[in-house]
Amino acid sequence: MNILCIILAAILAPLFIGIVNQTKAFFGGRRGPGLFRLYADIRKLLGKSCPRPEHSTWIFDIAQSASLAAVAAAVIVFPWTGGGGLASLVPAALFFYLLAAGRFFTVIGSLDAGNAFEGMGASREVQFSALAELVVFVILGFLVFLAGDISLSGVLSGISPGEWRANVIPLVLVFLAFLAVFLLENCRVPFDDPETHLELTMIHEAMLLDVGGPDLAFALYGAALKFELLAAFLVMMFMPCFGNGWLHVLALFSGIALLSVATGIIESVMARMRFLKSPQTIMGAALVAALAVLIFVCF
Amino acid sequence: MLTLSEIVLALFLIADLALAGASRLKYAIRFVAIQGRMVGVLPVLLWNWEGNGCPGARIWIIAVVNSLVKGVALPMLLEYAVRKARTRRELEPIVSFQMSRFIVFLMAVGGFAIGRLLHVHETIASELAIPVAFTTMGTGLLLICARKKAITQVLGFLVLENGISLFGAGILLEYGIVVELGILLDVFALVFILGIAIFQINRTFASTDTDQLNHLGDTHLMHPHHKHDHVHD
Repeated sequence: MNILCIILAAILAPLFIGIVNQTKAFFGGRRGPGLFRLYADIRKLLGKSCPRPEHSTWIFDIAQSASLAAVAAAVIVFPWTGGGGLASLVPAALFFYLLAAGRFFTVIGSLDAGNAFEGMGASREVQFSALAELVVFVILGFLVFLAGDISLSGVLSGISPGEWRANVIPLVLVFLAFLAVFLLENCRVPFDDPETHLELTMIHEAMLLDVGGPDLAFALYGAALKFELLAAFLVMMFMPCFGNGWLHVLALFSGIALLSVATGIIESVMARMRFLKSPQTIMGAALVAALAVLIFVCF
Repeated sequence: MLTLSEIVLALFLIADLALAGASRLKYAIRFVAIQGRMVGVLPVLLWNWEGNGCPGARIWIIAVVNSLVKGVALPMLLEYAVRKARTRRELEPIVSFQMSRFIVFLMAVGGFAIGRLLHVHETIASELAIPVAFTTMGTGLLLICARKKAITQVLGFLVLENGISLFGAGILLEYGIVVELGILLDVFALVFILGIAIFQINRTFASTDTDQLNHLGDTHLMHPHHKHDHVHD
C-alpha cells in the first residue's frame, strides 16, 4: 500500500500545479490552461533533445537529474499512508535535507552554465533557502516538543482535536510560519512570481534559463513534486490522525488540493512584495515560530 | 483551555512584532489603532461571565470609551497630524526593523520570565496577560528610543500606555477603572498637544527629525542645515 501511495503521489504531483493555475485563471476571469497542462508540457519536453551551453561540463548534464532524484528520495521517505514504513526510521530533518540536496544540484548546475543571470538566481535561491531553513528548524523543534519523537512519521503523527483545543495559539502561529516557508520554497507570490519568467526579480526560474528538453521536464516535475511534498507536510502537520488506512490518504490528498486552491487564491489577491522585503518577512516568520515555541513552553 | 481573551492577547503579541517591523507610518498607526481596540474590549473578555453574571455598566462604559478613544480618536488625530505636517511617510529607524523585531522577541522571552516571577496567580485573569503586557510596554519604549520621528515617539507612548492598561486589566485591578480613565485623559491630552506641537515644529523647521532638534541654537534655529546662512551676511 505504501508503494501504491508513492506511485499515486508521483502521478498526482503535476495536477496540483494545474489546480493552482486553474484557480488563478478563475480569479482572473480567464479559461486557464486546464488542469493537465503540466503533464502535456512534460511529455512534449521529454521528446526533445537536450541543448547544452558551450562551456559547461558534466555537472550541467547531471544537475537536473540529480536534483529530481533527491526530491524523489524525499517522496519515497514521506509517510503518505500515515506512519510506519521508512518514515518511522528516518529523522524529520532528513526530509528537509533531501529537498536541500535537490536545491544544491540545481544551484551548481546553474553556476556551471556560466550565465550571469543564472549566477544571480542561484545566489538568491541560496540566500532565501538559508533563511527559510531557520524557520523550518524552529518549527521542527516545536513539533518534536509536541510529539516527543524525532522521526518523520512521529513529527507528522497528526494533532488530535483535544490537542488543538489546548494549544490553538502556538499551532496557528506555527501554521502561519510554515505557510510562509511553503510559499517561499515553492517560489510563489508574495515572495516570487512564477509567471515573471525572464525578469530580474525572479529567484527559481533564473537558474533554469539554459536548461531545455528532458532536463527542463525534470526540473518542472521536480518543482511539482516539491510543491506536493511541502503541501503534504503542512497538511499532515495539522490534520487530526485518521489511522493508517485509505481514509488518511484521501484526507491527505484532498488537503493538498485545498492548499493548492488556497495558494491560487493568495496569488490572485496579493501582489509580489518588494524584493528587499522578502528576507524581512521570512525573518518575521522565524520570530513568529519562535514565539509559538515560547508560548507552548511557558503556557 | 483557550478563551477568546487569550486569542486577543496572542494577537497583541503579533501586533507588537508587526509594530517593531512596520516601515511606514500609516501601518504603524493602524497597528496602534488595532491594539487600542483590543485593549478596549479586553476588560469585557476577561470578565468572569459564569461567576459574576453580566458585567455592570462600569465595565461597559470603560470598554466603549477605551476603544473609541484609543482605537478611533487618537489614531485619527495622528493621521491628521501626519497629513498636516507632510512628514515623509517612511519611518527612519535608528535600530533596524529586523533588529527591533528581534529585540521585541527577546522582550517577550523576558516578559514570560517576569510572568513566572511575579506571583499574582490568585487574581490573574489569564497567564498570558502579564508577559504580553510587559512585551507591549517594552515595544513602546523601543519605539520611543529607536525611531527618529517625533510622531513615532507619540506612537511609542501610546503603545506603552496600552501595555500598562493591559497589565491593569490582566490582574483585574479593583479600582483599575478610575485609574484607567485618569490615564486615558492624560494620554488624550498628551497626544492632542503633541499633535499640535508636531505641526508647529514642522511649520517652523521643515522637519520633525528629532536628531536635528537636538542642536537648537539661536542662529541656526530657522536653518538647521546652514543652507541659507549667506542671507544674513
